[in-house]
Amino acid sequence: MTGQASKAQDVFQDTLREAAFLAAKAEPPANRQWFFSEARWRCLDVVARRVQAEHARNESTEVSSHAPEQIEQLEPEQLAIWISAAPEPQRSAVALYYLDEFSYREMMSILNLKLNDLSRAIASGRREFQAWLNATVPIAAAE
Amino acid sequence: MKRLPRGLRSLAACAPIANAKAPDRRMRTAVSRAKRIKDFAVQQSFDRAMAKLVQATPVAPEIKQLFANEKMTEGTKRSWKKTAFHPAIVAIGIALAVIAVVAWIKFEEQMHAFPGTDIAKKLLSEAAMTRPTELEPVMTDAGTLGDFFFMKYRL
Repeated sequence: MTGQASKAQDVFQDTLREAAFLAAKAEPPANRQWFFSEARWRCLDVVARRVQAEHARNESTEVSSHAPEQIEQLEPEQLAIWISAAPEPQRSAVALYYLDEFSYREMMSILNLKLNDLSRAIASGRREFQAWLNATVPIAAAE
Repeated sequence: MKRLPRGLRSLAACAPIANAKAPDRRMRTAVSRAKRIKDFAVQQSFDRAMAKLVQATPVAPEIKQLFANEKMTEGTKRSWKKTAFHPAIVAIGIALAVIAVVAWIKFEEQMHAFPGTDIAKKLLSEAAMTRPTELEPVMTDAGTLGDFFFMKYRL
C-alpha cells in the first residue's frame, strides 16, 4: 500500500507499538481486525504525505469466462502493481477480498465501509482488472 | 446478476471465494440465489483464479520474520472479573437486586394478610371509637348478626 518496503515496515512497527501501548494501559486491541484497520490508516497517512499519482478513470468491462486462463499468464507482481495503483478504498477492498481471509463483515469493519460501498469497490475492481487483463493478456494469447 | 434484488446483489459481489459454507445466513441466501445465474459462476471462477495468484505472491524473508510471532498479537480475552465489573453488567445486577427486594417485600406483606383484613381493621377501629354508653343490648340470633352489622355500621 505504501509502495516502499521500508515505509511498510515502519507502519508495521508503529502499529505494534500502538498495540503494546494500549495493552500497557490495560486496553488491549479487541480483535485482529484492529491491527489491519490501524495499519491501513497509517499506510493511508504515509501515502497522503507523498506526491499523489493522478488516478485516471480506468476502463472497465464485464468479467469474461476466459479470465482464469488470462490470469494464469500473469506474474503475482503484476497483480500487486495493479492493486497498488488502484484508488482508495478500491485498493484496500480488492486486496483484502483476494487475501480470502476475511468475511464481508470483517472487511466492512476494517475498511469502515457500508455493504453497498464494499460490493461496489470489489465489483468495479473486477471489471477494471478485466479491462486491464484484456489489454495485457489478450484472450487469443491466453488460449 | 442484475436479476437479483439490490441487497442480495451486493452480498453476491463479495461472496466467499472458497467453496466453504458462508457463516452468515443472508450471505448463504444470496449465494444460493446467485448460483442460478450464469454471471455468478463466471465471477467465482475469476475470483478463484485471482485468489490463487495472490496466494502465489512470494513473501520476502524479512516480511515473513515480522509475522513469525503473529500469535502474540492476537487480542486478549476479557477476564471474568473485568466482565463482571462492566457498567452494563453492574447496572443489570443492581436492577435485578431491586426487583428481588421489592418482590420479597410484597411477598412478606401477603404472608401477614388474609382475605378479610380490611373488614377486620374497620371492625376494630369502629369498636375503638364506640363509647360504652353507646353500647346497647342486641337481642338477635347469631346468624343474623352479619345483617345487623351491615345495616348499622356498613360492615
